[in-house]
Amino acid sequence: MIDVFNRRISRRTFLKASAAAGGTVAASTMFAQTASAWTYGESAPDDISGANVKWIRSSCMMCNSNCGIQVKVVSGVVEKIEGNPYSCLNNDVFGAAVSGEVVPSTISNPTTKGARICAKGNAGIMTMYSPYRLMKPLKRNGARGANSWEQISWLMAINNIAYGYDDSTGTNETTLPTDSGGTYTIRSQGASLAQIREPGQSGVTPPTGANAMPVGDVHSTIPNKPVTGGMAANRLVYGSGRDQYATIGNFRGNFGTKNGTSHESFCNSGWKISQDHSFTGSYGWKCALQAGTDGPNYMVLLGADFNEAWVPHVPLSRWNADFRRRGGTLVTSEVRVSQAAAKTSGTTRLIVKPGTDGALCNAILARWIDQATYASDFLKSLNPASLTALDGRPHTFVSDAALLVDTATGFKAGAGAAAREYLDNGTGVPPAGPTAVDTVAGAAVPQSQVVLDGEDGTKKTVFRLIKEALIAISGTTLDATVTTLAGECGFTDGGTEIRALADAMAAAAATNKLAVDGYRGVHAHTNGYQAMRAMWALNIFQDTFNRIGGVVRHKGAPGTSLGNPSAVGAPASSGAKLTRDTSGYNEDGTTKYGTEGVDYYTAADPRGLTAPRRWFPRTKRGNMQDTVASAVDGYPYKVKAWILIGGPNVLYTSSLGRDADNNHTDRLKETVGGVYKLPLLVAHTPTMDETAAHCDYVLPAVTYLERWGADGGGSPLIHHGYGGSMSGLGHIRRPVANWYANITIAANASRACGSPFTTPLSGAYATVDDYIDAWDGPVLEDDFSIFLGLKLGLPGYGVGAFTGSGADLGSGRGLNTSHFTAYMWHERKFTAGADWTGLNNDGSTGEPDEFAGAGDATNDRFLFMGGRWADPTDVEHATAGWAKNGQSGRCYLYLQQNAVNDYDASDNLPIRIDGVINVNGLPYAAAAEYDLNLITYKVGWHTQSRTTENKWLVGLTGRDRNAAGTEPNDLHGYPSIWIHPTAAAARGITDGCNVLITSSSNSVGVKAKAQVTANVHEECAVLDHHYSRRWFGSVIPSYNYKTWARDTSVDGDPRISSGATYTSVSEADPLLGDCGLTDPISAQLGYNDSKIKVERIYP
Amino acid sequence: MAHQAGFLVDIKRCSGCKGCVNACKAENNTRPQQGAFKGSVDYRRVVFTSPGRLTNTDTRNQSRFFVSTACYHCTNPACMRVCPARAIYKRGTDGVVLIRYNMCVGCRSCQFACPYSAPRFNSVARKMQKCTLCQHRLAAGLQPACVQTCVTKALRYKSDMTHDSSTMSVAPPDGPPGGPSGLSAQNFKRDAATYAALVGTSSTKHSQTLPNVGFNNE
Repeated sequence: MIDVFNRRISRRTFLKASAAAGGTVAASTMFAQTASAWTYGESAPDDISGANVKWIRSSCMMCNSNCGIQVKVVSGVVEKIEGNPYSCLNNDVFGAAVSGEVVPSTISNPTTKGARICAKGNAGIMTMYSPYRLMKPLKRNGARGANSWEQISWLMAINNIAYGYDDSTGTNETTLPTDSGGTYTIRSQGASLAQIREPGQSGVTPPTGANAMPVGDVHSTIPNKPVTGGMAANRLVYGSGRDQYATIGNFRGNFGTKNGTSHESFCNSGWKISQDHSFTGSYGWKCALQAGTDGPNYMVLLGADFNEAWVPHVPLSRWNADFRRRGGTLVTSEVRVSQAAAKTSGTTRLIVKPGTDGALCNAILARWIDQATYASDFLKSLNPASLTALDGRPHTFVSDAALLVDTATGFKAGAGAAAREYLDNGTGVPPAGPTAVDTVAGAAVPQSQVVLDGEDGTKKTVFRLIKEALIAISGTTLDATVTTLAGECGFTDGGTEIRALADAMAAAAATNKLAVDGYRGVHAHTNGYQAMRAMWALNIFQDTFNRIGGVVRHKGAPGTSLGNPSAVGAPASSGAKLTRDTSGYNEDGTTKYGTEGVDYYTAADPRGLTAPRRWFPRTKRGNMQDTVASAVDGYPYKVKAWILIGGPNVLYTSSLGRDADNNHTDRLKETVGGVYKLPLLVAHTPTMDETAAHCDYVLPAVTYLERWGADGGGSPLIHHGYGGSMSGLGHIRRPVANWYANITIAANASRACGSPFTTPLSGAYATVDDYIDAWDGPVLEDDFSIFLGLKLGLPGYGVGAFTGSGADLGSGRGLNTSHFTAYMWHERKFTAGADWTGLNNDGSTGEPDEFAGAGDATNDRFLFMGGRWADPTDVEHATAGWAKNGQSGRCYLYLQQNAVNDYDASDNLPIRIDGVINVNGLPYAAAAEYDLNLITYKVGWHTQSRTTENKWLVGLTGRDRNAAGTEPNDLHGYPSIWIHPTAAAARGITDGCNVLITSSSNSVGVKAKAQVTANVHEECAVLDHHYSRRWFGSVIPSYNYKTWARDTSVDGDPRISSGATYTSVSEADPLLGDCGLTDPISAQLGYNDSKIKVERIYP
Repeated sequence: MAHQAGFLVDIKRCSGCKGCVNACKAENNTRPQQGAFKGSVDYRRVVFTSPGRLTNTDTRNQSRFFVSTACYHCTNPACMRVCPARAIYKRGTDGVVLIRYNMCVGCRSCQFACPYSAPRFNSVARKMQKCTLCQHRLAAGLQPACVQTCVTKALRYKSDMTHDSSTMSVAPPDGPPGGPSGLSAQNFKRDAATYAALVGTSSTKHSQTLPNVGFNNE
């Protein structure tokens, strides 16, 4: 095993002036200036070049931006990570023209001209070589969460999980300790994977005898359950957190379960669901819209910060720097001075009351309508041809503003879903007969013929409905509504400033230079879904879509999985998901599993519940923050086994509370609900996190630098050219420090790929058991799933699994007993490279010739924002930018889906100004003593749970200096709660003092240091998202970590557990009790809505 | 001295992402050598400053800025003058200030003398270490690691800080001199007052020592 730390110290280098070899020649010339030789210190740099130095290109996974990286590997050790100059995300070529720089004609020397990566990307080396990494499979030998483990073999682990036996002969049942000191067996709980599989499920050989599923264990015993809620196989939850793995979906499909673990409701489902509904009119996931930064000169960011967990961080940060440098106006609306807001001040920095983003957007809308400064041509266009007929430019995208709604029914007027009516300007009534305008291909209707603001009986245009709803807010006029809403937002000027802002935005939009975004700001509230719709309405009203800049979308994410290539005999999974989302509902609101009012909630009281937990019928992104609690409830059905891949930290989601010593262990155990409610918990993860620490098995995983993979969601801003001529630009992830070996398994030729922390395989393995037993360190998820698939005899694994399926991956490349699945898929998808080596070393095809001949319209194109191919010299061309954002179809201001379920008609319009609401959509307010609004954020160097244990990143946090030179430089590692000077004075709080933070969900509270700062709104307090973590290597010695940590000589890092994080004290939904405040529509966690109390304590 | 090399820091562009800190750490192997912290030094830091944050109540106009800071390879280095072991010297070719590691006695005098605390104490080696301006990379034709990785192109390397001429190349290697972002050296203020406002040095302590760095905060 390679230990990079020891290696570095042992080879401490002292360069001599007389050094003469290779690259040191130039150095010796410089050193000759001095009388005595200059020498390096303790930390000598690594070789830049040399026989042992290799540069390998891959893509980063320290966050989801997937920047291209090139990694310097010296004798098998990762020494340095730099940016991949071929990556359009983060190289110096992409966007160069925007910033006015000359586009280089060639990337002639990529090794010396790397691209740019952020603090996380640079620290990836520390993630791989983290001393806290797991190295061996562990099985708990104490109570859950007691951190007492025994090391077992991979074969033992797989036998335990798959069959509940300690060996492959099925004679010794696996036992686990109970919390009370006794033991139980996995099989007695029906929790082994063999027991879970559905008898008779298509393609699955029913387990019999000892493996048979216990009778009566299929469904929950809770009344009012959805009786057909799922096939038995759904009792296995198998999936990932934020990491993307190629074969997770494959295993789920082959096993027959629908259940994975999505983190998205904790992340950005409010952002996505609002787009799903607004830009397709249906429940289709088709959009990922963000403000473009390459075109606008006026950008409004509502709580959005390109420096703080907004992917892709690197290009966004650079383009925004360019945007400001070329004179663009950045307007931010935040309750704190974020890193983006730091670039604004005064009139360009809005401070609105928390959760009033929607009100702000509505005020702007009211002003635009009042002043008629909206994009009238766009709003009046019934289809793209109408718009093209007007301006002669190509268009693919229009809105529903001029279409009619029958207010008596709440449905869009017209016959059939595709035929929507409009008012004829000559008659003021709908044209005779159904008018099929709701298609992109519809015939042009002259705008002179269309009434935008009209009504005919019960039929009104969407525009008119919005206008009337806005007027109704004040009860008098649109202008009075601006005043009213300004007051809601906390302005005391009667709306003067909002009017000026709205006018400036409209003026910018008139020259096609406006973009509005609210990523991680607007949607992170319980009213976030509707507020996000209001924000999208701003973009719709100014048509920021049909051109360069503005709001852009990508052409479609590659997805988190390479898909299931339909193995022969793969079972058909069905049933409602554990996350209780759209999959349990039809689009018209009726349920697929049971009767509304009986099985879910009552029709008489649409806000009431008869089921143990509320469903989220309009989200399709899961609701992670209460998934565990639901599983503990056994609703909609029991979960037997939960296998967490890549560190989805489901027990550390929200509102679990902790005691004053930041010890959340007891609450987490409570959430797990005892071993009999979730009998088998398995974590496959590189590091010990809160959830893994409470699992029965913790299995060591590799990091992104040790495995193959494909980008997941990729960047919403850049379509990587999946399968296109720029394939490979950063979206193939491949190991940079690993080994390959030719092996045989049961006489079948195979090829293995492994981490440097495992002993390389070699030779012939007589049986699958021998093969599994040969692994002694971290393995790839693909390997882990294939272990299980082979042992369980699942379809899709084993010799001939794909033969004749139509998805034959090629001779010798099928899913045989090799564990080579994922790699073969890469090869199938990406044919540029040879065999298993995947892509060629440049990771690309076609470039750098792509950039030859600057100004040439045909040869000089590369992928640009919005997924369009563009000539970088064309970005400001008068017409080149039009209709190139890849956006097509129709955007919807009116959503009839929201009316047909359990919401009133006002939900249809983006004009609904709620404050904090509970999971049933009713107003919620914490007790008055909790008088500060808790805000959280993710700094750019911490964007996900996994970065928590990275010491290079932990060390970056500190307080702001009060003034230049008056405080010491080193403030690293002391996260603190931000509190405004006025609020601090009222509480006797001084800078750096100790405070106790409590909430309605945590009356015991957590301790923290106070940072008094005018960088936060007076009514708010701010806690960083990434500290106060018990695990992740924070407290090694006292917790017996040394039995498994990679480097047992390294102590725990107390900085990881210092301070407080918002999760400690954030509020639970008052109805659900054990999950965070949640948007009832999108299931988005409202992580900026909790109220807290902050008191000074001594010492 | 033929030239004076240094960094240009465009405060307007710096987003405070701290990528430079970790690029330096990886390049120069300044990671912890023992335990969680020991032996870890930061040649480069990003200082977040919010002037008057304790007393100002106007959040909308509260100033907050980020300055990437390291050794400035001063014209007249205070660290060099106070070093009892004469371990610190200023190189003639480009003005880079270096520490002769084998002569350093680890007394930390240089750290206290430096207005910016650029020399850092390695508690394992018990020696001082600091930014070398990545001289090993410069020798190989590369940019310093921090400059190379700078996400917003706020950090730039300039081989000659002594000539504020627009003909001097201060743009990134992929671009022309100057350019629309206005990055000619003339745009960078190098007076002590600007410097003090940004990174917090005492203007009287070493007023004769202008740092070899340019700031653009216009």
